[in-house]
Order: sequence, then C-alpha cells, then structure tokens
Amino acid sequence: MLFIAFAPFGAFAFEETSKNGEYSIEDIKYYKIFDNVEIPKIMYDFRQANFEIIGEIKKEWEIEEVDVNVEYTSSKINPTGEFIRNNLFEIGKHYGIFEDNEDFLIKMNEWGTQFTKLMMKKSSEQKDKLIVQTVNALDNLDETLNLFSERLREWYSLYFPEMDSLIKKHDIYVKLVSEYGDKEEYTRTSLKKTMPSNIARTISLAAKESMGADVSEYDLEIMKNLANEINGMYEYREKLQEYLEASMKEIAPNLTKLAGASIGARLISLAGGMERLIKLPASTIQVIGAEKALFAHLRERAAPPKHGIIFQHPLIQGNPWWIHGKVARAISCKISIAIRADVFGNDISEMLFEDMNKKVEMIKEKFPEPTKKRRPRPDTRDFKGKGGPKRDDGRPRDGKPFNKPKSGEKDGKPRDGKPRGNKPFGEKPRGDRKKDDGRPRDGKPFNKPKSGEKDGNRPKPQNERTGEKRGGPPKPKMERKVIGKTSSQN
Amino acid sequence: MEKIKVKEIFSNVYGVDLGDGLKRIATKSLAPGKRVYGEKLIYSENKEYRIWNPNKSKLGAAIINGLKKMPIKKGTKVLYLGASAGTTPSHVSDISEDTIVYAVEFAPRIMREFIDSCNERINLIPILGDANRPFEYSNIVGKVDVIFEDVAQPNQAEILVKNAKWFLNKDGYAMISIKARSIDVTKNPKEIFLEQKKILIEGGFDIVDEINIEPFEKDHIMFVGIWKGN
Repeated sequence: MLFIAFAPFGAFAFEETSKNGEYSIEDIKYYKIFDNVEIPKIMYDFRQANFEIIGEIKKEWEIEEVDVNVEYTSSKINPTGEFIRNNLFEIGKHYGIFEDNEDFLIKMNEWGTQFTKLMMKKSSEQKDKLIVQTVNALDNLDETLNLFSERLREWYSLYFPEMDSLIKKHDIYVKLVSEYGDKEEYTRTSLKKTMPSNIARTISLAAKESMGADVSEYDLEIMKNLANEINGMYEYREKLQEYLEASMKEIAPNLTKLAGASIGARLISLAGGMERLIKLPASTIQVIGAEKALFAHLRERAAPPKHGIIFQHPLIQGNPWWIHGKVARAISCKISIAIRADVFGNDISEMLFEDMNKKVEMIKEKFPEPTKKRRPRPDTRDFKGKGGPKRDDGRPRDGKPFNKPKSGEKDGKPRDGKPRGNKPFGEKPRGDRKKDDGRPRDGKPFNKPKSGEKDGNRPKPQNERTGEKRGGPPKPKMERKVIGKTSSQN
Repeated sequence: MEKIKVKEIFSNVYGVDLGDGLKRIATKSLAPGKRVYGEKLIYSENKEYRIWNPNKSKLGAAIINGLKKMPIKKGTKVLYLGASAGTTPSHVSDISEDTIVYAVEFAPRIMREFIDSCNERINLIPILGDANRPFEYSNIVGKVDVIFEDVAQPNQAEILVKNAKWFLNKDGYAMISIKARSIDVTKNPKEIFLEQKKILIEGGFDIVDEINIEPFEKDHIMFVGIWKGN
C-alpha cells in the first residue's frame, strides 16, 4: 500500500512498513515540491474537488499500482499525513522551503491569505448574492420611503391638511406635491389628466376652501424639494424591482414562474443563497419567514405556523382561510422541486406550474366548507421570546409547567378569572396572582424580572380580538394612544 | 492620572489595574498601534497592551470568571475553529507570540474583515473552511497543542472530536465554548451541557475544567479537556 498525503508546499508518499507508526524523513519514497507561486492555486483546486494534480503526480512518479491511498480524497487519516502534520516545519526545512520559524510563519500566512482570497472571489461571484443584496436594498428603501412620506404628509398638512385624508396612497400624494405644491395649482382641469374626474373635483374644491395656514413661497419650495427627492426614490424603487425580476428570471426561471420574482428572491435572501436553499426540505421552505412563530411553537406550544413568506403567494391569499395551510404545503413542495431544477439546470417550470394549479384545485374541491371553527389568530406581537400567545381554543389545560420554568411559571397557570387589562400602568399584578396559584414553586427568583413584569401586566391579546368583555376602563390603552399621537405630530 | 499596574497572571496574559476597581485583562500587542475591534490600548514600560473585552470574547470571559489553567501559552500551536471577525484569535495570536495559529472560519462575509487583521500578524493563518470537514484543510494545518472551538453549531462537540483526531497532539488541550441555545432551544441548558460533556468524554477527552461564562454570555459554558486519543 502506498500512502500519499499533502503538505501546503508539496506531495509526499511512503509505503506501509511495519514500524509501529514510527517513520522518519528517510522513509519518504516519493516527493514533489510545488512551485511557490502556484501553492494557493493548488490548494484552491483541491477544495474545488479538482483532483487532476493527483493524476499528474502519479504519472510523474510512474505509479501503476492500484493500491494507493490518498489522504485528501478519502477523508481518512493515513500514516503519511500523520507524519507530515507532526513534522510540518521539519520536512519543509529538510527540503529547503523554510529557513527558520519566522520564514515558516510568513510563508504559511501568505499562502493561507492567498488561498482564502481565491475562495472568497469564487463565493462573491455567485449571482444569488447580488439578489440577496437587492432584496435587502428594497426592504430598506421601503422603510425609508414610508418614513419620509409620513413626514411629508405631516409637513404639507400644515399648508393643505385636507389632502392628507383624501389621498391615501403615499406615492400619489408625493407625486402631487412635487408636481403642484401651490394650492392654487390644484385645478380641476390639470388634475383630470392624471386621475378620475370626481376625485379631481373633490381635491380642487378642498384646495379652494382649505383651512391650512398660508406659508411663504420659500417655505413651500422646501416642502416641494422633499417631495421631489421622495419621488425620485419611488422611481428608483421601480427600477430596482425591474432589475430583480430580470435577474430572477435569469438565475431561477422555475422558481420565478412558480412563486413570482418577489417571493422567490425573498426565499433566497432568507435562506442565504441558492446553495443553501436547495438543501432545505419543503416543510422548512413552507415556514421560512415565520421563524418567530416557529420557535414559539417549539418552545411554548403555540400553534405551529402554516406559512412564512410564501403567504404572499396569490394562490394562498386568493383562497379561503381554511385551506391556507394545505395550499401552502402543496406550493412549498413544488417550489422545493423548482429550486433544485434551477440549480441543476432544467427548465421544467410549465409542468410544475400546471401540477401546482391542479393540486390546489383538488384541495379546493375536497374542502369546499370550513372543517373547523376559525380560531383567533395568535398575536405574534406578544412573543419576543418570552411567552407564547394564550390560546382560547376551549381545550382543557393540563396545567403542567413547561420545559422552561422561567416563562412557564407565568403562562402555564390556570386563569384566576379576574378581568385583565384594568391595571394601571406600572403596577405589578404578579403579587396577587401568586397567591391564587396552588402549584408548588421552586422558590427561584425570576431570571429576568423586568420582562416578566411587563408580560404579566399586558392586557391579554385575545380578549381584544374576540371581543370579550374587558373589566374596567381601558386606561392603559388610552394613555398609550395619546402619547403616540403627540409624538408624531411634533 | 493614576499609574497603571500590569501583572502577569498567565503566560503572556496580563491583569490590568486602571485604578477603578474593575478586573481587566490584556495581552501584549503583536502589532503595536493597531486595533482589531476598537479595544482600548494601554502603555506600560514602553510596551503596548490591548485590553481584552470579555463581552466580545468568550475566552476572555472565561479567564475573568476564573479559568484555573490556561492551556494557550507562549509557544503553543493553536487551531482556532470559528474565527469569526478575529476578536479572540487576535488575542490568541498575541499570547502564542512566535508560533502558528490556524484560524478556520466558514463564512466568506466575515472572512473579508478577518483577513485584514491576519496581514498584521504573521502567525495568524486564515483558512476558509468548514470545521465539520477537517480533511478539507488537512493539507494546510499541522499538528497543534491546543484546539479552541467556538462555532455555535448543533454538533459542535462532534466537530471538536473530529478535529482532535486529525490535528491534536496527544495530551494536547481542547477548549470548547458551548452555546446551549444553538443546540436546542427547547431544552434546559443544563441537560445540554451534560449531553455535550458525555460526547466529549466518549470521544476521548478528559474534562479538566468547566467555566460558566455568565454574565458575559447567557447559557454558555466552556469546557477544557485533555486529549487522550482513541
């Protein structure tokens, strides 16, 4: 048996001899020292599973034996490799690669850096990384656009308050301000060109009888400038969306056909790239984007999420709620196939698309009526990793504490029947709840008392949703509302 | 200004007293004048020391929380798995001073930042690789005296055993920082630590020390083991 193994600077081989694993440099039967410049490239080739070098080396050494063990390819340790690793510096010194320890460090550092740079170049050449960035840019842009549009509304409302309630869509509002600005320019004839005549009339009437304050031309100009900037951002957003659609069609035609460019790109972005996405099972693809709900389910037996980002799919949104989960499962299965076809280079989108529609039709036929009562949707706003939503599904509670005693102490407890939500802000309701609870305690203090208080104090979400009678005046909510309003008006 | 007191607590690891009663540690800088992650630099007797921030480095946190014996010393070869942006590896390279530190990291995005700090420290070798597949970097890495692992993967104990088989000298040390939350969010951290400890012992380690690194990181523990081979 001939064992071949690699050091960064060369390939070495020796034959199996019965020396109890004791070898020395004299035992090296064959060796080949790589050219200093080529070393990073050779490392890179190995990592890319391009093993031509091994063939070349064998030819050079004129080995015809079949019984050759190459360490790098077999993922098993062989004696040559063990010997090289034990004496990396000594072997290098023996063959004149390194002069001293410092030289060894400098050369190793350089090779490692060069090799890593090659690998990184390869990884950033992938087109899916561009898609991930585009999706993130779109998200940031949306956030900013909302923020600035709201600001413009507040600002411009000082001058023309009526328009705020007349035009709900941000982009149209911004366009109007950047185009007209002055109240006198909102005439029926000019507005009619871009919108239906009845709306044009309402706006022009409102402009005439506006209760807004008069501002100087200079002030108005500043507002118009902001509107222009926002309008430019809206235009850029559109361009970005077009680019996303075009590049999605290029790299993932199947996925784009099935899920649409936007959902497809988001799936890639959330998974962190195509390579990662193809390794995910369909069931995971179904709940990508609903991680918070999924972990709440795993941790605190909240309801499992039916769908993550694919909820935006028209086939899910366009169908009644009782088949959402079933459709989501069917779609995610097809999407999972589509992504794999994309990566491995087949265009089977037509077939998959038909299959998917057929499957959804079947589900629709099978479940024309709701099979169960609709449950109030769990309020995910309340999770924050601290406690799951309290479901009011009529099932008996077993009263057992959860795995995590910290949150379980609060949430697994039977209700004491007291009306919630009538506690004034900041007062701790924990004290009196403790007495009613007959379960034994482990006596430990809460790990995080701060968040615990908050949780206990919050009005229960499902009471609001199902319209149950809430005891007492909804004081905390009122206060909160007022605070919110004043802060946005400032 | 009060005088800064610097006292060596482990080989090449220094305790620093700035006169405010806080326990601080530092390492002698290999690349004077350069900061790696915005840490504080102090000078004492014409030498530059970098304050080791325990909030950013689990090894630093373990030392402050009372690590009994520090396996990483001057002159130890180290394999560092999960180098990330190079916060801890830079201190490790300060400590080992004139021997090699291999730093393996999987994510190219983080590597981009890490590679800069490698240029300044010649003993720090960056390797883009998957710690789960040690044979993929077996042609670069030689035998080492200490493996430090901080990868936050569900199978991190197995990864350590695998790497130890390939690269760790007999009677060499391994340090592993285990994050309970990355193994299973639903289980009690204590159970997870016991499980992982069992895997390490079955894999061929003698566990000699375990340090909880609260309050710097939650649900983390650091094991120190001696490799007895298999």
